[in-house]
Amino acid sequence: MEKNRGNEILEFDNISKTFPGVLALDKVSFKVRKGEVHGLVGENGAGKSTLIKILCGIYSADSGRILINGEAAHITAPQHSQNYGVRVMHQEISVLPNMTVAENLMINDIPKKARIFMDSWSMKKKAKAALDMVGLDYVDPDRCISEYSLATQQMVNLARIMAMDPRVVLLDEPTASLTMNEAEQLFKVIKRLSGSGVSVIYISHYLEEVLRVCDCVTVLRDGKYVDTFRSEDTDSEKIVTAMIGKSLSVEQRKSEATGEPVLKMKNVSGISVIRHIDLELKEKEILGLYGLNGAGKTETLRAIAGIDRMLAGEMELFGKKEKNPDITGTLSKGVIYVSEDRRRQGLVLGMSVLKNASLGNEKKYAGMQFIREREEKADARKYIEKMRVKTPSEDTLIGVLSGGNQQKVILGRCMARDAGILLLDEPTVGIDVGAREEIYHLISEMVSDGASVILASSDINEILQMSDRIAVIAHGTVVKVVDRAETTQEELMLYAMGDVTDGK
Amino acid sequence: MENKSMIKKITGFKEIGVIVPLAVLIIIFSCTSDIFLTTNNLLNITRQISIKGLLGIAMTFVIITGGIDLSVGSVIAFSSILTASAIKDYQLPVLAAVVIGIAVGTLTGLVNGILIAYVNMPAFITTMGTMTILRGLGYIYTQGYPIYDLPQGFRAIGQGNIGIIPVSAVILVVVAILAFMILSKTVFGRHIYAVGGNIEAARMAGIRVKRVQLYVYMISGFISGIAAVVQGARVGSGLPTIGQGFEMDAIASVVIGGAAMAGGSGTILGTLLGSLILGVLDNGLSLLNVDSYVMNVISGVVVILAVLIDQVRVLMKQNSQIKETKAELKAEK
Repeated sequence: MEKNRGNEILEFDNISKTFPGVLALDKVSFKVRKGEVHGLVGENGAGKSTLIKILCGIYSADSGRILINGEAAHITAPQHSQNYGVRVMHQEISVLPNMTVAENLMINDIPKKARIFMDSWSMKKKAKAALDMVGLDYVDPDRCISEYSLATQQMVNLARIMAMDPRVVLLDEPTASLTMNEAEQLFKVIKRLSGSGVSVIYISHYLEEVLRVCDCVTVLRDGKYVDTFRSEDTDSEKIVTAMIGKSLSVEQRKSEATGEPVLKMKNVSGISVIRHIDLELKEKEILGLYGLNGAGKTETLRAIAGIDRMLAGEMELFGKKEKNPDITGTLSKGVIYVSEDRRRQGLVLGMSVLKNASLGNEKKYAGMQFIREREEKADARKYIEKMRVKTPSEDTLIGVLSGGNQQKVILGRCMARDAGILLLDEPTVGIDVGAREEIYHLISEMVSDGASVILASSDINEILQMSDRIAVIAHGTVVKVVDRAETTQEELMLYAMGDVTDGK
Repeated sequence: MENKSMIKKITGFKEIGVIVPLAVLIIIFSCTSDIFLTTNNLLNITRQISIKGLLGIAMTFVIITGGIDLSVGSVIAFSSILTASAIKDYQLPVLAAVVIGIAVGTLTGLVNGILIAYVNMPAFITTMGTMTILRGLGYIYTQGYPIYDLPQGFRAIGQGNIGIIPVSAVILVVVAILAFMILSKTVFGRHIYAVGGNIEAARMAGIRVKRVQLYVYMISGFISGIAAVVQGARVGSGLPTIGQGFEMDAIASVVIGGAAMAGGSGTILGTLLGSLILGVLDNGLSLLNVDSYVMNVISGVVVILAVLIDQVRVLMKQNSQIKETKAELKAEK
């Protein structure tokens, strides 16, 4: 770091940022040199995205400075950072699908003739030049962008950024939606960029990738700057150690698992992401499913619940083969999926707490069709009390409750349905610490009552606190299954970040 | 404090957006016309709104799921033509003819429902298609000529009275009560609201979403079939031109009644009040000899005003909630 002084294009100087109750960034300082590919890694919540948002002018820092070319930069709005030549390529690919490549490239600045007419010829010429810059000479600017692969679309986005003559390009999880080959293409372009003097900040969870592409890697942890490593002097293990810091000893839940398997998956592949999944869940067990975002946790759970179709492989529920599970069928067997996206997939926000609590389960209170309202209400009150849901009444609209209370209502619904197998997808996402503990407690209670649980999470502490066994999933397949007692944070993270395969 | 709870009470009552304009209209017409408040005229209004009221109920089911059914007006024509023809051309008993009329409506709903729920076609396009097809079939079947001279026994459905109450009004009330029961008291009704409120969450909770959608379009067709029979009996003939634009009145009464086109909300009471507004307006303006072109303009304005009042109610409710939460937060500090 101390060498090559004077070559810095971008410097973070003592950046701090507080959100209500959280110190998101604590005096973060580091430098990015001209033409350098600079990796930025850290766990979820380490402060990467806050830092990026400050650089982009979406947030403003409470204290500290950003220096660009050695001068303090004044960035309070996205346009400002763009004026300084800072450009971001976001994780999601955003293109206008029905327009041509050239139109997509030039949409902000379409060349005109006589003020009102589009100048197609010069637009095409400019587009071609921009495409050549990122090595996309095979792309025809006149063709519709959706005819090309995701990777090409991603690269067209990059070309658009390049056409704006940036000094610093920020890539946020750029390979998230790409295949291996497509990622290779992207890496080539990144090399070319840095060769032409553009600095790249590269954010990714996949350490292997980061070490390959980047010249150096900065690690953030809990909002603090930890260290910057030169890629050739380090390896994944060192980086993971830096990301975790001192291993906290997480207290473990007492296991109640019996030996009896309730779910077996053999070689299951699904429509998206998941390939050759082998998994077994035992009765009254909590099986942690740990992996990064996009590794295939959600897809695995959805396949078990019968929401997404299984394309190959075998699945057994309670000792019985399931050929083509569908959601109503699996639900009737007591397999319940709880989505991470409560508001979109779990709740009907315009309905009351009561109606959400019995959603899909109203038959319990109805002989033929008519709902016995008193019975339903009594049951709802029972679960509200049991789950300690904070709500004015059972008739309150669920949309006004906090995330934690909404989740408790959903868990109450599972309890009312006598869940045999609970598939929890990031059950505490967006829930504050206090409510989180309560939810853990409720999950444990349900296990004591006989439920078996798969808990999918990208929060390593949650996984370690709750699980009896842990399955690590990476790139759509289960790479390792370990007993909770015999593993460490470091080991799990190394497997999840795709660096180690079993047997290596 | 009292003032606040008043606002809350008023803004909390969903049908307020309909009752206020309805009351205003009734007061205006009572003051400006001697005939308006007579028993005869009031019964007349119930007779006039019975058909559109039925279509409004049909539409309520569909709109709560977030769909739309444009074919109801054409069902009025085609079903009543087949009913009339069954009696006149085939000498079938009235009851059999009525069953045929209702069956044709239900069948239309079945086709709509299959295309929308299972083939995933957009509801607007699908029902616009069946609307046009049925309208065309009506003309083909009749060659454009009305089928008239229907027996008294049939005409009684649309023209007769029980005591002083029109039969058609009785039919409307019975259908409305049944619809109300289905929507608010049954599992199926709950599922209709859930599908419109959040189709993904409903699916995840194990509700058979496609089946709910199919049934809803069938119910819409079924009730439209009933409305067609009433219509045929009221005019005493099967007419290929009848019912044009009725779907729009039905949609208007549902929306005036407080339903959102996006789905998830709407009530039978609201819809009935909505069609009552349109009916009272129509009747009152006719009594005042207002030009029919002008009547169109006024009806349109009333639709917009009614929805506007509802929007203001929702805004006020949100504001008072925000204020409350803010006060709570302050108290916590």
